Amino acid sequence: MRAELVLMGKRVDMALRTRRRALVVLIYAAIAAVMISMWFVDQWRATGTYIFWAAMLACRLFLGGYYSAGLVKPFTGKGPRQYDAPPPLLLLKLRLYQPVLDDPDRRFRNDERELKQRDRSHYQAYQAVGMGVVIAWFAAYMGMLKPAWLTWIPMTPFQLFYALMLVTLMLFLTLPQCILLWTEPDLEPEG
Amino acid sequence: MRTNFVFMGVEINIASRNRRRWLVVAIFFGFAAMVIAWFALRGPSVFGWIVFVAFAALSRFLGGGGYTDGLVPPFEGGDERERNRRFRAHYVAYQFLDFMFLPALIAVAWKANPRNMERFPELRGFFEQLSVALLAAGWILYYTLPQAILRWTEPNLEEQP
Repeated sequence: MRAELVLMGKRVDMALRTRRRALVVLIYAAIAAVMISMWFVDQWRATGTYIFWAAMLACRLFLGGYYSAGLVKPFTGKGPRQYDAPPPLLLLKLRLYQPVLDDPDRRFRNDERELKQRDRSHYQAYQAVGMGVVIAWFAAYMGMLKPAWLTWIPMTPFQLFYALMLVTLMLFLTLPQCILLWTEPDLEPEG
Repeated sequence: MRTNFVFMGVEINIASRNRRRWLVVAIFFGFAAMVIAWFALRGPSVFGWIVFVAFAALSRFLGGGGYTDGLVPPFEGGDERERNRRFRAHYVAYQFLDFMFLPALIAVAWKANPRNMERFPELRGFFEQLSVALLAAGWILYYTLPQAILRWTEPNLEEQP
């Protein structure tokens, strides 16, 4: 796991666990806010995909795991694809900070301990995501079989099903990284 | 991990990896047949509960989770090697979750948009049933995939006396 985050060229120290936990809470609060506000816009008819994009953005900017940027190293241990051609001038100008390491792969490669942590966090996330799938399926099935049982909810059974699936998808994309960020003790700051 | 089981009074040896893989394929064919049959019987039907009971019986046979007498030992306990293999199997299975989950979500999102439903009103019931069937398939895969990966990847075992 990386001990710092680079945002708009600025280095943010994330070695302390309390900071990482605050980041996790902020990310989920922001996604929840997006989801609630999209309900008031059009009941997620067309804006439901925004929740998916919000989760993807959180992964890309902060969490990592399935991206090469972010606090968690890529789960595959591979960095972004390298091209022989020099990067465009605009990109070079925008890159205000780029750490130079003796071994460029070190930023992406997981050691054995990190691989074990990765597998363990996926095991834990698997339980939560599966619970979401079960609850969504149960809501959908009840909506078909006994729709009268769900009349007390201020949305149709199908909207409830859709909402549960969106939440499950969001958890699927972010939970393993958040478990890692939440449980990893304080790190040594990067030199 | 068990190397044999009794099916209708006949003892079947599954110590070799090849046989275990055939068994996994047969079990997943069974699951697929259940979901397709359920989808074919469109509309509110108690057949869903029959599928649920059949699925529970097959899951129990496959083991893992909290089941003590299945083909895969229960997920609680075990030595460090077994724990690591279990975690690794869940990591691999996690990569397949989106393949199970996204088709169902796309079907739901398509149906949730009223413009689609105005253009194709005859597909309303079809998409509702499709999304639930796809999610049921996802649910079945979710519960059984780590065990299947464990059975699939374990090398040939020594036969138990």
